Amino acid sequence: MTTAALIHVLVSGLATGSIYGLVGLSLVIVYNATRTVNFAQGEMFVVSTFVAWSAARAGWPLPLAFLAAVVAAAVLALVIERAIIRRSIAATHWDVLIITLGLSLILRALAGIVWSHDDFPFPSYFGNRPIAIGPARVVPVSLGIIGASVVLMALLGALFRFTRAGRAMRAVAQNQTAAWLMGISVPRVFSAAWILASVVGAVAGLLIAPVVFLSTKMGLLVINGFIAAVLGGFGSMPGVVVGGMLLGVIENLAPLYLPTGIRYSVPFILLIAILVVRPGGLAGRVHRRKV
Amino acid sequence: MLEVEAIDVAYGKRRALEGVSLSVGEGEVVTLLGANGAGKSTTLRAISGLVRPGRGRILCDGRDLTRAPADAIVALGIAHVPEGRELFPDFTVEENLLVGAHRRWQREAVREGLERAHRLFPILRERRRQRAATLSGGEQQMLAIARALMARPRMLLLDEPSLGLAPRLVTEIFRVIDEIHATGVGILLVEQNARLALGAATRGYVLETGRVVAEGPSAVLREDPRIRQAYLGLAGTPP
Ligand SMILES: Nc1ncnc2c1ncn2[C@@H]1O[C@H](COP(=O)(O)OP(=O)(O)OP(=O)(O)O)[C@@H](O)[C@H]1O
Ligand SMILES: [Mg+2]
Repeated sequence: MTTAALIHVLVSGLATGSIYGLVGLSLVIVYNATRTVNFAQGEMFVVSTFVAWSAARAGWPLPLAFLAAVVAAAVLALVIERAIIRRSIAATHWDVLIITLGLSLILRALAGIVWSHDDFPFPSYFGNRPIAIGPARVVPVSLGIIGASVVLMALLGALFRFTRAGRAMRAVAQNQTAAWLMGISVPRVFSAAWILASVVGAVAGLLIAPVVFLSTKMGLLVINGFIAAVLGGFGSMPGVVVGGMLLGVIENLAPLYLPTGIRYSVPFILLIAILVVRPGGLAGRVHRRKV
Repeated sequence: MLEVEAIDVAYGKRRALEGVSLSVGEGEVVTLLGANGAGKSTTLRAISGLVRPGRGRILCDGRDLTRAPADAIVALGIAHVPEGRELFPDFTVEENLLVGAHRRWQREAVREGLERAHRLFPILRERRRQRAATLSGGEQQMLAIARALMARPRMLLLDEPSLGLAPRLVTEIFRVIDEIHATGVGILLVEQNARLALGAATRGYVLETGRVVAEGPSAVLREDPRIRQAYLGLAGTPP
């Protein structure tokens, strides 16, 4: 492969990988705090992104439309967490898993009723005309996605490491009883985790929509985010980011060597391969399942 | 300062406490004795809001905190060092201490709290960058106590702080309990080591299958034949 082609594949791989990383992060943020996997995460960012689309169509300036999406994401998360998840207090993690799965179907149906299931072009804030990077030609959108994602990831890292709220979230992730005894309001941390995750997901949706077209199908990205999270050891935030990037690059690399038809199986092939070699994921500690 | 009035606590159908009443005055050290499963930890959990009494009331300075959430009870000045320490294993020693100060907003107060913790347990300063999970049992117990003190409580609930520690460390822990008491903090001490506990406390209560079966000044409890036999491992009647 020529250097130009390699750079091209790498850049677009890292761009999709950033999106997987962000979606994976949103799953992990909720999981770490509450020990549940929110399968509705995908449909939640679909709804948020559609809100931006509607706002932009109504003539709102783009930055304002994005802000609307972020606010919608936060409100949606708060409502779902308060009205449904928190009320099913006696539910086991499995019950909540089914609840979020059901929610994803309901949200998708509702989004379809409001916005239809068609594909819509989404306003792009980064140029689509290739620019030259060394010998390669790269679309600015890819660089924009990578840049914005990296900035958001760094902000999340700082939030969790250096702020009181971030420390409280990490404390709840480790030991809920102890967190209560430190004076942390655990329910408030749950809400915060849902809101934060939803906002991160919304940003991922806003970043990817111009590339893939906006549609209710975009929610399926949650699967790739999930795989990125598992690759990273489900729980480790740097692990998810690396898992997402790896997945994105390999997914873009694979069609060059493998029959094109296999492209959509690549994430799962990678997942199985890594779990066989490193059962705890890339960054995770291994808790072996007894056989 | 702390008043527990006839509380019942059940775990599902299982009754753990029945009509338990006790009180701890401002700055007083009181011990709660009892065999395994008597309900000592449950009593502490009810006070700190981890379990809800089905009946009865819990008051702090006359304020009813029976239905208050655990985080609000910490804010009222009651800190609980739970059975089994319950540290944050992935946090460093220092992060564990900092999260103990979650309810304190002034940077200055938090820094003073850290200094106080290091003065009380110098080993924690040496280990401050180490993950809590890698500490020895004794160090973990010290960290658990220091972490609770970071909230600057007026009342400390201690659940078997000497459990599983070597005799030298048990002495150390009891020295620290005296030191904490000397700063005016009230202590409700659950202990398996009744001799040491009665030595540290001015009064005590004895729980048996969820009920208070004896109470009184430590000196009196020490002479009680039943307590001598059951908890002090001595012959029934004092010599
Ligand atoms: N989470 C729980 N679920 C069900 N039953 C419980 C639970 N915790 C305690 N119990 C029961 O409640 C009773 C009182 O338990 P508790 O832990 O308060 O006893 P304890 O006096 O602290 O005992 P130990 O000295 O062993 O710590 C016991 O019979 C125990 O089995
Ligand atoms: Mg106990």
